[in-house]
Amino acid sequence: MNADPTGTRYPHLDLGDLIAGAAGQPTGDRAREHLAGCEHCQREANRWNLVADGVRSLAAAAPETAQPARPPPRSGPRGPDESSRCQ
Amino acid sequence: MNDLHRDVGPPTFTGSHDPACDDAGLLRRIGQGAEDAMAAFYREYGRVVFAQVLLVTGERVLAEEIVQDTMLAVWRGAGSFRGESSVRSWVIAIARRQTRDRLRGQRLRVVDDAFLADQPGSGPGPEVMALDRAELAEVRDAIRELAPAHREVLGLAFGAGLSLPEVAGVLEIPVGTVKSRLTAARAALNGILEKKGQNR
Repeated sequence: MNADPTGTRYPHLDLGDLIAGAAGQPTGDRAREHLAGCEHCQREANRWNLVADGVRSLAAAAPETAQPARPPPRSGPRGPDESSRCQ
Repeated sequence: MNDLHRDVGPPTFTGSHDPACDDAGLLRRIGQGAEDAMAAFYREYGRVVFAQVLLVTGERVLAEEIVQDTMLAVWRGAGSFRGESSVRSWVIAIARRQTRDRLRGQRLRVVDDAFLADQPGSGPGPEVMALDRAELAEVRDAIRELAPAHREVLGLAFGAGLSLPEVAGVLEIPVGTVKSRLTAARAALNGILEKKGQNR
C-alpha cells in the first residue's frame, strides 16, 4: 500500500499490489483487507484483472509448437555425468 | 485471485519431482550434453516462451523460429546460468534478445518504441474507463492492437508470470519504469476500446 511522508497509510492500494494481485501473485493481508472494503481499489483491481485475463487468454490460445529438432552436437562433455543425473 | 493464470501455465514434469533436479539441475544437465534434459526443458518452458514471443511479434512462423533459436541458445549456453535470476526469467530474457535481433530494422520494434511506451496516455479519466464496460474478447482483440513494447510488458507481467523485479530484469529497466509502462499500456488499451466503442 502507499505510504505518505509522515508514515501514515495512504487510503488506497499502490500499483504494485494491484499488479501482483492481477498476476496471481501473493499480496499482503493488509492489502487484501483494504481491497475487501474499498470500492475505488476494487474497480482498479477489476480493470487490471481484465487486462491480465486478456493477456492470459491470448497465451492460452497460442497454438502448440513442435518439439525442436534434435540439438546439434557440440564440443565439450559427450554426455551427462551419471553422478549428477536426475532420475 | 485468478485461477485462470495457473490453467495456462506451461506443462509440468510428470512423475517424481526431486527439488535437486529442478530447473537449475536441468540446466546443469543440459550443460553436460543431456538431450533428454533439453527435451524436458522444452516441455517446461517452450509454451510460455512461444506465447510471449508470439504476443510481441504477432507472427506465428517467426515466433516459432525465435523459439527454436532460443532453445538452441539454451543448449549452447546452459553452462552460463549462474542462478542470479529464475530460470524462467533467464530463458525469457534470451528469447527477448533473439526477438530483438530478428526484428532489428524491421517494421516491428521492441526496444526503440520503449520511450513512447512509457508516456502516459491521454484517454478518459479513471471514472469513465472503457475497460469498465469491455468484455474479455474485446480486451483480447484490443491487446493485439497495442504497440509491441506494450504487448511485451503486459505479456511478461501477466502471461509469463514474472514478478515486477523479474520483468524489470528482463527489460533492463527500473521497477518504477515497468510500472509506468504497464500503466501506459493499460491507458493505450483503454483508448483502443474507447475508439472501438465510438465506432459501433
